Amino acid sequence: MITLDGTTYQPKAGESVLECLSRHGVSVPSFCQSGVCQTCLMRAVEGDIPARAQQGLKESFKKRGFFLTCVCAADRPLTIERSQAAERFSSRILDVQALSSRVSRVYLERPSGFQFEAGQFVQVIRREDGVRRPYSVASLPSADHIELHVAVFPGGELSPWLSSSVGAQVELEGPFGECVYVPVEPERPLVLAGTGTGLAPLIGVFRAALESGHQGPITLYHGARSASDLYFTDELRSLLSNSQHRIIELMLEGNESEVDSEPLLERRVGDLVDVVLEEQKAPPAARYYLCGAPDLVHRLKKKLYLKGASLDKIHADPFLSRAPQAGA
Amino acid sequence: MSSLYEKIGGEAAVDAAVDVFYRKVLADDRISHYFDDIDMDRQRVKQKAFLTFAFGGPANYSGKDMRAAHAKMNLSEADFSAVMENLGGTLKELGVPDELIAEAAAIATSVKDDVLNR
Repeated sequence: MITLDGTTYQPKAGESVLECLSRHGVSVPSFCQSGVCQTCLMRAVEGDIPARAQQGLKESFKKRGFFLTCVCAADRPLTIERSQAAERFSSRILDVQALSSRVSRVYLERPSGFQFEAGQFVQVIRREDGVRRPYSVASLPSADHIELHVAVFPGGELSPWLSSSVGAQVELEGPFGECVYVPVEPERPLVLAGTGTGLAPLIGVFRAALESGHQGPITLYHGARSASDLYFTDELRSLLSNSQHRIIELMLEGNESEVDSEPLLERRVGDLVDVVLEEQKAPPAARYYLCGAPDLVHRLKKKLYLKGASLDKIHADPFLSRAPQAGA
Repeated sequence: MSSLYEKIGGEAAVDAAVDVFYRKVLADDRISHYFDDIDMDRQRVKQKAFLTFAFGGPANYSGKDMRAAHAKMNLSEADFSAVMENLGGTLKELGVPDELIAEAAAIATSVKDDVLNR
């Protein structure tokens, strides 16, 4: 018995979920029909998914109930949704703090029933005109608020408003993305690398790892143009209570005289991609989270893969169309 | 008599081969530019489907799909040879006997005209 969008479909003996839905006239995109291409991916809200139907999926996808409808027997009660289905919630801007001249920390009310994982992103939608932008969540699900890092672009459509409208109502859609902490391997080294406000999801993953008692070393690289763009230094330092973890702030510009050595935190001049590749001697051993400028995320992902990292263990979240000229 | 797919080692062999093959292709300067702006996770899934097909496995891969997927890429004979070379190199690295490599190469070559849009 398969339930989708409130309608229940009865399977015939031996049918897959895909076959059952197709026979009832429900259109599901599919291609290989043999559990390889992942075109027919859907998500189970309720019910047990057989291991075969999740074979080859990323662990973060498995954990969230995604499965392949073409190789999932329909002989079980399942409530499913399309993988793109997004829920909408009402929220409110609780507080705004300027973190630097360009970045604000925006706290939103956490809507009841809004389930997410730290590091995922949401669409923030202004009620009056429907203008929307994606933002990653830096706070934990256990917090009573949602923390976003908003890069404020002068003249931008949403960001100047978002960072100056305490009390305003917003809509949230989501959550999206698979940039989430995977608790099944507590000893695996974690490497988090991001530029600009790509730091927000990394903070989310870092906090989630600490909360769940991650035992392996965590290394976080935050890249920015100059020292004034390294907007989260004090908060980063507070994450370093455990000395086996490392946080490295990198700036592209600046001369060595500007480089001060923070206690615990390291701060250097250098390119994020170069430094990560130089320092990471054993990519197959670690799990990676890469967020921020798309160019950099793609470059780093490819190079880490070529050095032996498994794609299953690279969580990439390129921040698309967030360049100042695009207006955000 | 077992099939080529079974002789090569089935799904486990595809799993072992896909990263070796995809890394070879990405690192091959002759063809790596075709892969610059694509989603690596999806591409890896496609590579897996291609290898399953080349190994004579259950891939539901048709010439029509291959034609559609490569239609706008304007690929040359040399591009195709480079991929075949990487396929052979991958199988050799994994210790697959030469006669089975030849069988896999023959299956892959069967869609050559579709891939090159001829």
